[in-house]
Amino acid sequence: MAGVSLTFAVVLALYTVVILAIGIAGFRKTKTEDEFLTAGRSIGPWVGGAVLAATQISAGTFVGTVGRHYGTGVSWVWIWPGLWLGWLVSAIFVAPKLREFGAATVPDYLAARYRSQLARLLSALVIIFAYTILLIAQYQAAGEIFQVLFGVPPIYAMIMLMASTLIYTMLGGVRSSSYIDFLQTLLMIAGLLMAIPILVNAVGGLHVAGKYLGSMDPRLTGWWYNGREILGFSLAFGLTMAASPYEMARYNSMRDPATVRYAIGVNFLFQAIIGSSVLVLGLLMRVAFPRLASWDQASSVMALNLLSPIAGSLFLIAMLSAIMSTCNSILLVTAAGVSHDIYGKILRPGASDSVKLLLNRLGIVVLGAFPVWFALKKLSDVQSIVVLQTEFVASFFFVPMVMGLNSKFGTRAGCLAAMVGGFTACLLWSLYGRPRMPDINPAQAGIVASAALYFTVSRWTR
Amino acid sequence: MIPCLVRVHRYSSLFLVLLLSSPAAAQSVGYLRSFDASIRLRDGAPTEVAVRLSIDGLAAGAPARFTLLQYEGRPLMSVTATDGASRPLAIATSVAGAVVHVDITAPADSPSVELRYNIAPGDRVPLPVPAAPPRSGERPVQLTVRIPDGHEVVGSTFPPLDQDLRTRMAGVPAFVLVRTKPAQQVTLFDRWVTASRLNDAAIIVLMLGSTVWWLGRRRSE
Repeated sequence: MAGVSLTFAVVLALYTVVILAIGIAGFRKTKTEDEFLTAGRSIGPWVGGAVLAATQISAGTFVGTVGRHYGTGVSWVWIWPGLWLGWLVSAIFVAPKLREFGAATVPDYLAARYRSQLARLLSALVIIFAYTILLIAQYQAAGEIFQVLFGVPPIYAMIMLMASTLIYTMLGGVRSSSYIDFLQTLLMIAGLLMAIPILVNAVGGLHVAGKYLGSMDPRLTGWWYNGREILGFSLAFGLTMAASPYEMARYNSMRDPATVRYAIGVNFLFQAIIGSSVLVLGLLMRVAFPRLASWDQASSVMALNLLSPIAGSLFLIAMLSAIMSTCNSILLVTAAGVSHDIYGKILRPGASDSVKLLLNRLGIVVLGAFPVWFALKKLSDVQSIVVLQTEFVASFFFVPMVMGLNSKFGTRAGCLAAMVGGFTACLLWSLYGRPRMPDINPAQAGIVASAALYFTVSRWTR
Repeated sequence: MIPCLVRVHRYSSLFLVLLLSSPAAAQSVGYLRSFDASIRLRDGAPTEVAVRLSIDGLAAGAPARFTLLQYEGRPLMSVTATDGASRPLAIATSVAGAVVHVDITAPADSPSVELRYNIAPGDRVPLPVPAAPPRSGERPVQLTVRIPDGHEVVGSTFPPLDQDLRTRMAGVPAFVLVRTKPAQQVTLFDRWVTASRLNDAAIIVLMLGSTVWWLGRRRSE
């Protein structure tokens, strides 16, 4: 414990110095709002791929997904094909076309494509709402990790995470964030890969682990979730990834549409390594510690009680990196929603670049601090929070984004109906439908309603 | 349920979804307050395990289940359970695949239980994992390992133990892994080349290697 704590403190200090240095370097190069939001469209495929992976791989993966595998076994792994299908949809139908369009933010695109300031306002508000929920999950995960590791109240971890992420995001915008994301992706992969051999050695091998898991509960090595549940989760994650504003915002920082496609391929590679490592670690932790206080503690207990001080510290830094990289993307996209989309395009269209840049930075501070209160209430486990926000984002954005980029059929009214209808259907299904029919995911209900409204209203109003 | 609904209403009905979907909501087996295990390894003789534990919220007379992994097919021997006043408790063991379940009835007037058993010598010593999890943020589990006189620990242990072969942690490990050798047979290799040290060395080499590569690349650019 003391060994890990001391080593972790040293590694954390080094890590903070490096990311702050990158943040300051980015600050020197960032003079305009466009630079802040798109890094001068200079990001290449490898850094771009790492950015996409780092943005998606979050507390939900390191804490929540490890926790899900710990608690429910192998079958949660089947959400990954759905997720990758979402990336494939993005690579073919969304990302290159969005990059070619050249909008700085997703609300920018929706407003231009459907000629609707209301579409801009609604999408900016949903981005702020849904990603605030996701930020709650990130803070909650950080609190959980530090509580297990150092026994400190979660509020301290949340403040530390918030402060460090806010500083580098606020200083360097997308440019610094991209290079920091690249470093963080490498750290995540190293942290996971280094943990596996130690854990395998401790439990006596993978075949031994499989035998015990099957004996503890056959569902751990078989099907914990049924096919419909898996399909529901996969679709929710996949469809969200295909049209996720915080990922789409990053396409705009890449050099050109070809770079975006290449980056999605690189992202696949990173995610395959991370996804399979997380599966193995979750299962092995269940063998080593069958009953923890919560599923979400599996990762931090592993770092503390199984790994050596150096490997444990590296793993904890990797976890923090996953959380920080996602927080950083969320903050960039939500602050842009406030300053660029709501203030700069609706409230004060003539606002100067310097005012919008300042507002972006202030927005990051305010939107970064607000979710701490909710995170302290700890309303659910991390993965459930992540799932909840993906359902709302998919229901709201998927149909108008994918159809808008690939067809001229949709009208302004069709887009608005799809957005509002999809979101409402998802909300109503979450509250009233799911308790009666748990096999149907709210995102499925939301997307079906959204698509039906998009086609019907567009046809009616053409 | 009512206080939950009132609380949730304050955060807006949307967050009801979070509460209803929480997997932690179904907890009803109590919480582990303390778990103090003593493992005594003996040279060529069965290992002795004694665990004293207490569970909050476990009603008197309620069933309590402990699960143990059955490593290398080694059966548990001489399994006994007593309450805090050393009175014997009814006990039933059953094997389910590769795990052993030990079921006892919670004592009527004492919050603590003591389980004792022996197991044939081997690398891994299984521990009885109660169905009750610890509370979040607490570290109620304490392990102490005693090794045969004249022996030394070789390689990495699971969980990592301090110099006195003790540790305190947040969850009950399914087993304890401690390998020993007579002191005169322990080589420098045994003492220094462990899985975790090899792992640490790999991390350091990787980090230094990538830093040197990156610096070289920047210089050449």
